[in-house]
Amino acid sequence: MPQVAQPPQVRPYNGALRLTFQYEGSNVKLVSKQKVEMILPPTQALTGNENQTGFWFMLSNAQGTPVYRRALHNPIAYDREIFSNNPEHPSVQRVPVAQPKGTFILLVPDVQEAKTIQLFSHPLNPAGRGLAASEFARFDITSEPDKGEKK
Amino acid sequence: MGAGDGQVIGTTQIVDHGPASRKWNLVILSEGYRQAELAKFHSDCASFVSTMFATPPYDELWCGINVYRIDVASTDSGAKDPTACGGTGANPKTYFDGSFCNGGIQRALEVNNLAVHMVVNAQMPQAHMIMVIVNSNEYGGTGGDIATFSLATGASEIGLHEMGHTAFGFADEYEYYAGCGSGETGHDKYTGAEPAQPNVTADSNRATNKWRDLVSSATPMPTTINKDCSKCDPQGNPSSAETVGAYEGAYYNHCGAYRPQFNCRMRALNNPYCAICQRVIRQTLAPYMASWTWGTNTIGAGQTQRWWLSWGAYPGLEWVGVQPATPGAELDWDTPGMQQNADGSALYWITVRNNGSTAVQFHFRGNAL
Ligand SMILES: [Zn+2]
Repeated sequence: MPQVAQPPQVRPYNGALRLTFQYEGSNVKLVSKQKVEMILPPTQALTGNENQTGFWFMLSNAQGTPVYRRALHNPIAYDREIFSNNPEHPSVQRVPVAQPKGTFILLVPDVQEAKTIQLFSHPLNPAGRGLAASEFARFDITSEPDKGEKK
Repeated sequence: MGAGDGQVIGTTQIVDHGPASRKWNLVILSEGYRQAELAKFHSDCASFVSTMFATPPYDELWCGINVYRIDVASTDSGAKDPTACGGTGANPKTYFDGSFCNGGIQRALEVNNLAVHMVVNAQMPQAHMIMVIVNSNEYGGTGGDIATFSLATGASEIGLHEMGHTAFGFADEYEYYAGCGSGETGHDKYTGAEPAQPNVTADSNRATNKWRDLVSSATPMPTTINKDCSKCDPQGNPSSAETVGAYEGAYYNHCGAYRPQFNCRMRALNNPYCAICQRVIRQTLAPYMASWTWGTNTIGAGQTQRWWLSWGAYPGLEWVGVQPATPGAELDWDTPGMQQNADGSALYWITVRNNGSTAVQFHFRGNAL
């Protein structure tokens, strides 16, 4: 019962922006922006998380309408996770970081309508976990890096 | 210190399931390996890749994953090991300044994340997840934006836990902050908002819980209750390991926050990811699987069919397989051969056998490179 297959369709690649941020405390700077060809996971629900806690970023168009949102484990580390293979210790636990400072990457779709990226988090110190997240930084991704922070 | 203490040698793809523009790309960098030790890094990477491949659900999603290795040679070998934490006092010159004893904690092995990102941005900007393997046999590692771990036994589990955070957005499912025996305060009862993360919740109500579709009607909700919120719940698992419910104690709190299964790699190392975490990994990696259904047919009980697929211009295939349309149905299938012709056309044969007692509908599926 031979069958001739249809040629497979070719899935188009998605363009993305690789955004590199540096932070010191809650002060965040966008330091580089690179165009890359890669597929990103689909957006999560754009609304309905207003009263939630956690960290997420939102990409919006010039009218402020959200186009892409992903919730992440908070990349701004006010505590560090440490591990152990000694059965007398928990295999994983957290300790506060005295001076939070570091670098992180966000991958966002390179879509023409995207204008702004907003970062949302609960208050960044560990005691703030549980409080509803609010916007704490916003960048114009159409402008040059390191000049984009509006707040 | 830092980038003066070595050089970036280059990038090699070590798991190749197609172009980086179409796949989910894991990038692994070396830290504290001298140039002469890079062959050891190659085998350490291969060892991690084997561990990951054996970890559900990455095994079934493997066709969607690429792995790249960035060889970075350091001037010296190992990582800094300050005496302040009881270390040896070793102070090697390494490219990413890998060091134990961050924050005064011996096992907190960290690297300079900015330097790592600069190398990845230049070498492999299509990275979805970044890991650094540190050439030390002492146990240690940490997470954040980059997962770092040493070569000690079990340290690769750190990479798998951190990948849960960084790549899939998982919360910690453990029910304490500093540890159950730490005497910690301020972690007795979670009274906060619903966490955005998929694998912890403040809602143990069967009707509204966010993973309720996986909770059996026979499972109590909440599934466990911690009777003394001043400490971690000492009770064992009253259900089977796979039972999805709402187990009290999660997200750094002894009470008031719930985890989906009694155990998960996001609660304690050396456990499988729970069903909720596995589902999110599958959903996140689904776009990278890029498989297509070419055709559907039905095969009667006890029958064998031989099919062929042909292309005028062969697109390159990762796999061709047969998938029963009915969940739980089983078929034997084999791809006994393919023929690629000089003009670019190709034929691919598939044999399908139904050893069952009922007819089975099935799809041919494949994944073009
Ligand atoms: Zn889990």
